[in-house]
Order: sequence, then C-alpha cells, then structure tokens
Amino acid sequence: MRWSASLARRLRSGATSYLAVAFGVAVLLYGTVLAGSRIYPFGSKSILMYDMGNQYSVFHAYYQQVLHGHASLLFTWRSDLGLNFLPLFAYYLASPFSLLVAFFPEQYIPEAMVLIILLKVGTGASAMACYLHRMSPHGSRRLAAGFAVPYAVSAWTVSYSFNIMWLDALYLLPLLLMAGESLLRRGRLFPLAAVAGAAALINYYMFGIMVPFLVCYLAIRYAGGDDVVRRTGAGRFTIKAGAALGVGVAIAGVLLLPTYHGLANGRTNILGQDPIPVPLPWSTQAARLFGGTFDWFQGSPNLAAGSAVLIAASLFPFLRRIRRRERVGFLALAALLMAASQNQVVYLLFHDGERPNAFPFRYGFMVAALLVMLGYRAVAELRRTEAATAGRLLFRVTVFWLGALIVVVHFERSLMTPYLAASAALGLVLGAVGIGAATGLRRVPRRVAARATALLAVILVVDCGVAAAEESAAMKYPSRGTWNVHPTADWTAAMKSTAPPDGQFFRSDGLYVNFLNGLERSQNESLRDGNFAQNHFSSLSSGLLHDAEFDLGFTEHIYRVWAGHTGSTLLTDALLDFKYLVTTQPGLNRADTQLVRSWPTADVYENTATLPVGFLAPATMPRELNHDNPFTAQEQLFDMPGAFADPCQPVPTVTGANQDISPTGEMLYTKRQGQKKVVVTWHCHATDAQELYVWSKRMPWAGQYPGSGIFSLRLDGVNPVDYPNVYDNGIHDLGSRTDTDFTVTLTTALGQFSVPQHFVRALDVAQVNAKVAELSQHGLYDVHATDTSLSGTIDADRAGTVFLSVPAIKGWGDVKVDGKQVSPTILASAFLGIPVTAGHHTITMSFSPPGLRMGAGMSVVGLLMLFGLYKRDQRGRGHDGPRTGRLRALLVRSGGPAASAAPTVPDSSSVAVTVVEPDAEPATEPAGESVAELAAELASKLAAEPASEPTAPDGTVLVAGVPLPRFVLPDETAAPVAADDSKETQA
Amino acid sequence: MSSAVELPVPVPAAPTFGERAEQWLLGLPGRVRSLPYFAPLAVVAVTFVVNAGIAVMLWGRLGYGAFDLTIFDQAVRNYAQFHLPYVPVKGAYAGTGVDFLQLGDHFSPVNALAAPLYWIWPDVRMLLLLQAALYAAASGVVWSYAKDALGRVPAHFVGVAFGLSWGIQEATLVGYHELDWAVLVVPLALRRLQRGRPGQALAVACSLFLVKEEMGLIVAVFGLLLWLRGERRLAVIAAVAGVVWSAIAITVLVPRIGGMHNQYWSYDSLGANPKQAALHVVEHPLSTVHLLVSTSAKQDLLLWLLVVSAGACLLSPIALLAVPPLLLRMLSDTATYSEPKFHYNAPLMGILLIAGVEGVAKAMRWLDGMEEQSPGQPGELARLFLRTWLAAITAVTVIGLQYHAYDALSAAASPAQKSFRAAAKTAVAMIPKDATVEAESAIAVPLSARTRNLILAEPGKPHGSRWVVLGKASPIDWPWASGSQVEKARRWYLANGYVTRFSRDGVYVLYRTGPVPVGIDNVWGQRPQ
Repeated sequence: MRWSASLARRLRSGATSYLAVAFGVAVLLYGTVLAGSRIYPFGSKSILMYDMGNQYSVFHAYYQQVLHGHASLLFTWRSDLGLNFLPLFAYYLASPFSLLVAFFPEQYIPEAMVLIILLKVGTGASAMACYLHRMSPHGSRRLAAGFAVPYAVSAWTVSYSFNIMWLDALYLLPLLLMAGESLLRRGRLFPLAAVAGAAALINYYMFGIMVPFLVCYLAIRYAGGDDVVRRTGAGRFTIKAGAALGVGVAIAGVLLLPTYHGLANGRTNILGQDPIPVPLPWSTQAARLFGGTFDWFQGSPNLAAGSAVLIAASLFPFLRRIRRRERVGFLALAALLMAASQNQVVYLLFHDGERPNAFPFRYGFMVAALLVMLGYRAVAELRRTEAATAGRLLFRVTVFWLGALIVVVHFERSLMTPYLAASAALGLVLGAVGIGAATGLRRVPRRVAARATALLAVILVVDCGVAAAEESAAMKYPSRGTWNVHPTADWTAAMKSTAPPDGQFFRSDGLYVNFLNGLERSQNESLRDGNFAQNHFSSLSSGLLHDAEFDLGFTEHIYRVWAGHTGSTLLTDALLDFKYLVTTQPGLNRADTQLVRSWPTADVYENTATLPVGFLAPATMPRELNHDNPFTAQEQLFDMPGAFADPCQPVPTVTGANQDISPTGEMLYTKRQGQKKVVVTWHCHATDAQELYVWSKRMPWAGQYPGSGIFSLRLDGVNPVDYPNVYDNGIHDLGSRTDTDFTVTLTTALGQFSVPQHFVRALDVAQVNAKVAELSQHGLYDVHATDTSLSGTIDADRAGTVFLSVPAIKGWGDVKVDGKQVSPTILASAFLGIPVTAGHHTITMSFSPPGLRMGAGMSVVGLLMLFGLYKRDQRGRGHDGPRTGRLRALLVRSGGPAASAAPTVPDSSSVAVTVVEPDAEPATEPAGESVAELAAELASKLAAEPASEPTAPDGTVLVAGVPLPRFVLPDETAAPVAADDSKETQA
Repeated sequence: MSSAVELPVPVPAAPTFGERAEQWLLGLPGRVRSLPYFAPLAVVAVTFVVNAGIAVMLWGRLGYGAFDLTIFDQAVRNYAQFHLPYVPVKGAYAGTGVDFLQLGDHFSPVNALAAPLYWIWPDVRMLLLLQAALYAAASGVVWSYAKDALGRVPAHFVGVAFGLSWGIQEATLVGYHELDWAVLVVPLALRRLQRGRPGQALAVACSLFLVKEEMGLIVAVFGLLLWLRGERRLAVIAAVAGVVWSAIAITVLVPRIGGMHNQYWSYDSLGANPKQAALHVVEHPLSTVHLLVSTSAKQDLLLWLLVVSAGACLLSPIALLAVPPLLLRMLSDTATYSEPKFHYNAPLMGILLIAGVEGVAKAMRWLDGMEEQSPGQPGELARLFLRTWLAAITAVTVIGLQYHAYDALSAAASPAQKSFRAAAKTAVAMIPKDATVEAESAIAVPLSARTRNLILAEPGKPHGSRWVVLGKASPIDWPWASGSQVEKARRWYLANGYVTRFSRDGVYVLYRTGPVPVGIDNVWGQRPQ
C-alpha cells in the first residue's frame, strides 16, 4: 500500500514527530494543570463537576458494563423506569475514546474520564498542528506544535472539559478543515465526507456547531485563497461540498435518526429551555480573549487561547502577502464569532439552532481555533515580509492589545484581577518579543533562528499554561469521594444488592437522597448499580413519563428532565413495583416495609405491598392522569376515591401571621409587622394505621432556585425537613401513625405565602393492602425480563387492558399477546396498556430504538456513497495533477508559473526541498529524508515527463516558457537562509 | 549718462508689542523643550505633582493611618526641636512606654534629615511633600540612568514608569516612611556605578545603613555587582560591611535602644529564632522555596514585581539587589509583608526598572550582534524590542495606576463618610495643644500636628490619656475593625470617669475629669496632662 509505505517513511524520517510533540506537550500541560488543581491522584479532588458527576461519569460506568457484556446499548430497565439508551450513547458515549473505560475497574471510572479528556486534548493538539503545518509551507513544524497547544488547552477546554463529550470537537474541527482543504485544493470529496461522517457519529451536536464554521471557512478559502485552491465554479464547488457533508450525515444515520426520535420524545424539546444570554458587554467579551479570565457559571464565553496568540492573530489582516479577500473573509468570520455574544440569531447559529440548557457559549473553541489558525499563518508570512514593515506592524499590534488590556482592566475588574492583568501584559509582551525574534532574525545562523522559533513555541505554551492554571484554579472541583462513598460508604453496596437477578423484574430505589444535584447522589446512579429504578437525569428523558410522574406527585425539576423516587406513596410504590427501598437513616418509619439487609451506613427495606410489572387494570383506570392534584390522580388511578383523607382540624393554628383565604382558595398567610417568623400548626388525628403525606403545588420556590431552607416542616415537633424546596417539591412522606393525635408544624420567615387547604393527608394502610391484593389476583406472573424485552403470563377474568408499569416510549413496537401482534395503548398518561381478552395469555414485548433500522439503512447507503466518492477521487487522481497539495502549494506560492502547471511529483509529504527563486528569498520545506535522495527522485520525476514540461538548455524545467524554481542539493556552507529549524532547513 | 535711481529700501516695520508677544509665546514651547534639563525636569515634575496630588487628596479624606505616618511625624517633630526621636504612639502600642525612641523601632536616623522641613512648617503634610520629592528626585536619577543606557526618548518612558509605578503609588497611599530614602539612594548608587565611579557608588550605597537595619543586606549584594565589574576589593568591603552592619543593627542596636528583643521576628514557619530558621532552610529547602509562593498574594506580588520591567529585569544582575528585602518578606508569616501593597515595594521599583533598562540594553546589543548591525545603529529587531518594551512598561504603569491609586481615590465616599470626616476635623480642632490624647488611627494623623502627646486608641486597651477621640473611619479598618468596638469602648470610658465633649456622626471626643481609672495601663505616668 502506497499510503502505508508513505506513512512508514514519514515515521522513520521523524517528519511527523511534531505531531507527537504537540500531543505530548498538550497532555503534559493540561495534566499538570489538573494535578495543580489537586485532581486525584495528585489530591483529593475529582473532575466530576456538575453534569460530569450527575450524568457523564455514570453513563461511562454503564458503558463499561455494556462493553463487558452486562448491559445493553439499546435499552435499559435501570433508569427512567425503562430507558431508550441509544440516544444517550449517541450524544455522550460515541467517541472512540470512550471505549477506554472497558479497561478500568468501576471505582476508577473518574480516572478513566481524566485520561480520556487528556487524550482528546492531546489529539486535538496533534490534529491542529497537522492542519497548521499543511496550511503554510513557510511555517515550521515546531511552530505549528507551539500554536496547536494553546488551541487544545484553551480557556474553553479548561472551563468545559467536564463536558467530556464536547472535547472530541478539538480534533474533529482541524480534521474537517484538512478535509475541506483537500476538497479545495484537489477537488477530493472522500476526505470531507468521511470526516464529516465520523464527526457526526462521534458527536452530532458538536458537528452541528462546527458546520457553520466549516461552511464559512470553505467559502472564504474558495473565494480568497491563493492559487493552491482550484476554482471550478462556485456553484459546482458548493454542490460538491454539500454532497460531501450530506454523505457524512447519511453515514451517521444509524445514530442520528434514533437520536432524533429520542429528542422528540424528550420533555426538554429540541429547542432547549434556558434564555439566550446575549448581548454581552463588549468589554466582557474582550476580557475573555485574555488568558486566565474565568467567569463563574459561564456568564460569558471562553474565548482565550492565551494572550500571546492574540498578537499573532491580529497581524493576519495586515499582511499583504495574503490575498485581500482571504484576509477580509477571515476577519468577517472572526466578527461573526464575536457577534455570537451579541446577537441571538448568530448565537443560535453556532448552537445548532438550539438554546443550550446551562453552560452557554459552547462555540468558544472555534474562536481559539481561528486565533491560532490566523496567528500561525501570520507568523509564517511575517517572516517573508520586509523587516521594517514587519517590525512596525508587530509593534502597532502589541500597542493595540496593551491598550485594550488597559481598557478591559478599567471596565472588568471582577474578571480581570490584578494577577491576570499582569500575566496578560507579560504574555502580550513576551508574545511580541517571541514573534519578533522568530520572524525578525534573518541574517543569523539557522541554529539561532531555529532556537528563536522554539522560543516562540515555548512562550505560546507557557502563556497558555499559566492561563489554564488560573482558569482551573477558579473552578470548584468536587471531592473524589463522591464517586465511591456518597451519600455514605455503604450506599453503593446496598443499592447493588437490590439489582434483580437475571430474568427477574422488580424495582428498587433510594429514599430521600435524590435530587441533591450531585452533592450526595447522582440522578443516574442506578445505571451503574444495576437496580431497576426510576432515577434519571438527562435532556433525553421521556417527556411523557416525566409529566405523568409530576402528575402522580413525584418531585420534578422545572424542566422535567430530572426524575427520582422522591415523592412516592404506598400506592405509587405498589404501582411501579418498588420491592426494595434503600435508606441511609435507620428505623424507616413507613408502613408495609420490613428491614431485610443492613450495613453500618445503609439499610435495605422490603416493600411488602407491590404489584407485578403488569396487571389487569381496573376498568376505571384513566388514560390521562389528573393534572391538578396528585392525590386525586392516584385515587382515580386505583379507583379509591377519598383514599387520601384530611386527618386534621379544618383550620390550623398560626402565630406571627394573619390567616386568610387566597383568590385561588388556598390558605394565605401574611406575616405581622415585627414578627421574625410564622408558625402554622395543624392538629390532626390518625385512625388505625395511616401513612401521612403533605403536598403543595404553589408554595413559593418549590422546585426552583433558591429553594432550600425557606420552609421548615416538623411532625410532632421533630425531624425538621425543608419542604418544599428545589429538590423536593413532590409529595412528602411524613411517615406512619397509628391511632394517635399528632401535629404538623410549618415554620418560615417569609412575609407572605400560601398553603393548600387539606395540606396534610392520611392514606389508610389496610385499604391500600386490600387494593393491592385485589389487583394482584390478575397480575402478570412468570415474568422474564431481558435487557431489551419483557414477557409474562396473565389470567384475565374479563376482557380489559393490562397495565404495564413500563413507560410508553417509542420502540415498544413489537408487542405480542399469545404470539399475535397487538397495538398497545397508553394508560395513566405515560404507561403501556395491552388489550387482552378474558382468559390465559402470554404477553411478550421487545424494544428496538425508534429510527434504528431506517438509520442503519441510511448509514449503509452513506457508506456506499462514500465508497463511490473514494473511487471517484482515485480515478481523478490519475489525471488530476499531483496527489498531494503541499508541494504544489509550495511551488505555487513560491513562483507564479507553477501555479497553473505544477509538476507531478512523488508524495511530497515526505519530500524536503528548498525552492530557490531568482526574485524571492528562499523558502523551505521541512526535511523528511536524505535531501540528495529526494532531489534525485524529484529530478527523475521531472525528467520523466518531458512531454508536458519542456526543459531549457541548462536543464531547467520550463512551463509555458518560464523556468520552474530549481531544486538544489544542500550546502552547509551556503549563506544562512531564513530558516526556523535546524532540522528542517536545507540550503 | 544715466543716473541710477535709488529705489527706496523698504524698512521693515517694527513689530508691535502684540506681535512680539505672540512670537514669544509661540516659540516658548520650543525654547522650553530646548532647555538642557527640560526632559528630566519634566519627568521629575510629573512624578512630584502626581504623587503630591494623591497625597493631598488622600489627606483630605482622612485616608492615612497613624501607623506609620504618626510615628514618623513624632520622630521628626522631636528631631526638629533637637530632642531625641520619641514616638509615644509606638511606645504605648508596644507596651514599652511613651518614652520609646523611634530608633528602637527601626534604626533609621535618616529621618533626622527631614527635621529642617519642620522648621518651615511643622505639619505632617511636610512629610508627604518630602516623600513626593524623594520619589521625584529618584525618577530624575532613573531617567539619567536610562538616558545613558537607551537614549533620551526611552528615558522619558522609563522615568515616568518609575515615578508612577504601582509600588510608588502604594507607598504614597501609605504616607512617608523611612524606606522612601532608599527609593532615592539605591538608584543614585547604581547611577554612580554606571558612570564608572565604583568608590562613589559604594559610598552612596553605604548611606543605606542610616535608612533601616536590614538595608545592609542590599549593600552586601551591591558588593556582588561591584565584583562583577571587577572591583573585587570594594566588593568584599561592601559585602562584609553590609552583612556586619545589618547584624549589629538588628541584634544589638535596635533591641538595645528599643528594649525589645525579636519584636519583628515573624518567621515561626521556619523556626523560633534565626538559628533555627537557618537550620530549617538547610534541612527543608523545598518547603522553604514553597514558602516563597505559598499564597496567592505572594504569587501576585512576584508577578507584579516582574511586570514592572516587563520581565526584562531578569536579564540583569542588578535585579539581585531586590532579593534580600524580598526574601525577608516572602518568608515571613506576616501576611502584609508579602502583598502587592503598602510601602515595602517602593525601593524595589527603581532596582527592577534599572535592571530592566540594563537587560533591554543587553538584549539589544545581543540582537544587533546577531544581525551584524554596527554598534550605535540598532537594527530593526533591536528597535522593535525596545519599543515593545517601552510600550509594555507604560501599559503596566497605567494598569497599576488603575488598581492602586485610581481605586483608592475613586472610591465614592458615602454621605456618612463625608459627615464622619467633617466631624473628625471638628474633633481635632477641639483638642488643646500638648494635651495627652489617645485617638483613632485616621483621626490621629491630623491630630499629630497639634500635640506630641498622642497615642493610638486601641480596642479594649485604654491608656489613661486626658482626651480620647473615638470613631470608626472607613476605609481604615485598623485597629478598629467594627463600629461595635467603638461603641463598646465609648461605654467603658463613660463608665470610668470620662465625659462626652463632642459627639457627632460617629466621632466622639471624651474628656477625663477625674483621676486615671484604677487598674488600667496609664502610659503617661506622672506627666502633666
């Protein structure tokens, strides 16, 4: 294989070592930054910030089990009562780096995540270095590596590295640009289609964010690029580019279509929820261009790639060696990216047209990319600019940024601390000095020039490293202990013990520890522990289900993307087959429970009143739940009118406030002047055994920020809890009471608030048990559950609908009763109902992610088209000019005649020559192997094509009568040339 | 024959007075610019006007604290009257009595040089003007140094960058201090060295012995510079003299005069005494190095010291002069020593900028050598380097001004603060001359001009003065951290024989009508009150 031989030759020659250097430096740099932030094993912290702790780490733990064969990629019972997992895989786990979790024990998943992050960052640096070097033959490899590191370890990377799935964009963007260059220079479609397909598969979301950038880039390069670009007509080029991207999208169909269905199924909807946080003050945006600035909870975009890079990038628009159209184009692209912080439409353009929930300004890495792209090219071109002009330009740009820093300091004191201002000033100055030295030393031995280039690379790396350290220091990394010992040391073991054995079906979950936003427990932890649970938190959660859960009185986040077991009652636990309940507090005061397993800091209780996963629903079971009151909804569901009775005196006693009735019919309390707090006490009586609950829909701040510590609730003066609050706004279980008087006391300092009438409710335990026993008579038995299916048998005494406590998400298309396909219905707003006739029936059902088959078909078609594009490109290569573009680019840029007819040469990626022109200073192309060999090879190639390239009497190749640049052998004693790298330069 | 016709030669009309005046005025800027010392004088003037202006503004806002301004006022006031430099304000605070000599606090007889100013106007503000003048003079010296090293135009930038540097700004915000003399002396010594007068340079440097006890260490490092220039004999003299002097001053003179041992020992992280500290440094070099950067304030300080010269100071051994005072501060447990605040950094500004000048000159020579430029004709790269450096130090100066002087002066005073200041001025006027007073820190400064018998009012620590002035000035938060402390103290005084003579807007003037309450530390003893 020619490509493998070429690759082997390049590896042997060390021509690709700069990629390894970029990779290693980026990994080392960011690794050091994390170590400095005391990330384990260099301290007690972990990378499990925000959603990394709540979602991604747990998803990776689940993915590890999938890779070990213990779980399914398509569906899981462990979360959301039964979850279509493929869309989660597509967004969170499709990166090839995620496969590494297979090699890590579960307790070291956080470290696997750190490794994955570092590898993505390193790969990003390598890819960018490769792109940069290909873009400018006048640059140098080590400089390309020097510029690539600030891109890979930019402010965006540091601030958003916990969003691990986004980091794939770091290497996908340069790869897309390289593929785009291949299209621009050689008309090849295959690379762009292949990379686009890979990008869409790895992370469709980030691919979508990158597409506008890529389109702008292609347009700018096509319209303004130098003669390297083949212009075959704008329309034709547009069609080609569109076709390539289209094939890429088709390739990813196997994940895109199921994801689309998953998103459509979600409550958050495709357009997101959060407000668009623009426009921002210009000074804020300018401040974020300087390295080290950090905005707590991302109130402004992370744009910086170090301060030194700013100097380099700012030179680009003024370098007349670069075509005006290209300069203006990239300036416009920079303006467009800046406008994303100013204008909602542009903001949405760079966010897939979607409003991100939390963590805005996700396009920041593209600003860093643009800065290093322009910066590198500017430095490369600055070497070839007349010395006085270059010096003047560099000085003016430096003064501009120093002035900008002064302005930013004045307006942005909170962002720009004195330390950051000083380090930014130092970064700017050192960057200017480094650029000056790397481009200004022109009559020096190449050894010195190479060191100057290396100095600039070091300055860039150190500058961005200092900035990254500052940004990382401002982040609040959580303790690593949250992974293994939260909320207590025994919790995970207790939860794991409740996972059903193979084939069996029952659910279990934790009590009163949910919804603490990662402080105690992840909302997805059951994915890791293996128990069949209700807990779930992701933007892809089932909207139908979460609405129904809210109607049933479960605690829900305002966006309905978090769901947990908090808010359960005896009835819902029976309905959803919650057989085991795990708690950290000993002595669970709940009816129908008995302690079955105990650890020092966790106990497992068995719920003795459960229904099987399926049962013949009462004829009165509603298709739609009551939306106004969860008690009413549950009563209707079980056909138990008045089951949640009010056990208290009609009017509570109140101190510190005036009591009234609000327009909505609730009890309205207004605090009296001079009173510090209001105390409302309900005096109640329990008849027989009763489970007690409270619930409020409209009490202030329920389920919202701020939502904690506003109300204090006590039963008989003990066990105060905050209710309602941001994490607990559903039905609150007060425990059980039997034949006794009791009081419920609410205390608050609020000036005015309302509480629903019949705030306290009592559920008769005997009545519940009787109902459960009645419904169990016609329950599903011989239940067998697999990762993607469920089956069981039922004896129905009448024709009706079997209620399955399985969410009615799309994908349960294959439902059979006695082997015959039936159409399931929806019961209780979100659950599957299967119609049966009276008699003995076997029900089987299996899950297949919606859109999977069609998506797979799309992918196959896409791959076939990709193969077609490959063959097309192969055919074109024979009669379509040189195979690779770098030497051609070099020739074209070095001398005009070659622009129209560059010679066919061997793979120039390994060729190292110096092009000596009569009227231009020498330009260098890095060495790959013996120059004598290569020159001879090149000369023989040129000589082999006399028909198309006539030669002059002295042997110089003539193109249209004009001599091509000569390739000469190296001469160590020759006059020093403008060089940057002793290894690379050949004279 | 033709006769020549003599045409009348036009006689230019004599310019009118107005025209002459106009021409004179139009030519004035050029003539002024052509004055031989215009440029350095302009730099000196800018430095003086800006720093004096800041001082005057801050004075009007009661922005100075008694420590250290009142200490020096009392010392200089005594010098001016040919008395020993007693500083009751420090003695009472330190618990050694009001007859405490300033030389026992720090050995700085150089303060006596300020005494003649008090013969003109015995007011604290004279010290503030002296401080601005010292900085202005130092900026002239720095200008001269930079002119010879880099040229006239760069010298303007360097001179202004020094005069308005953040370290100088911070020192101005604190008020006069003995270290202000070092701000002038060190550049003078370096200038002598630059001029090729090592003997004079050493003599000037040795005047630092009179500034503060640890300044001998700077002289010792100055010896290293002499050594590098080939002045071996002088180098050894400087090193030995510097170390010996500092040792004597720290271990003998100050304790003997002040009667306090180890009063400034703040290196408990290293050990309980110098011996233990030295041992710790040897045994635990890494932890000692870590101490240098152990807090974010220390990192801030180091960075800001570095950027004063945009990092160029690292290219010159002159920067080593900053090492001894910096080490003493960075290794200390006292947090205020290692912040980019207060007066401690003022002497370092000149050192680092001059080191930067030397470093830039060296780099330019190197660049020209590499590019084969003839000497005296800097090449493009060297010129670019110089211009970039000048732009950088200018930017750093402006940024420093924003964080230090601007922030201090632009903080909007609330109506309550304005009322407090007006009341404080009234209270100051109420105190009779030469009465014994204990006063709140910010009020003590203007009060210092009225009486030598002034000490600091401290929370929970009455001293038995006849007069007491209490209040909680903002932003001065030492020693009174809160208004409740003031109120608590006021109640105590009122319960122990004091009556209120004045009370307005948080300022209280209390007067003791009877004998000194029993059981308190009466620092005045049997002195007439």
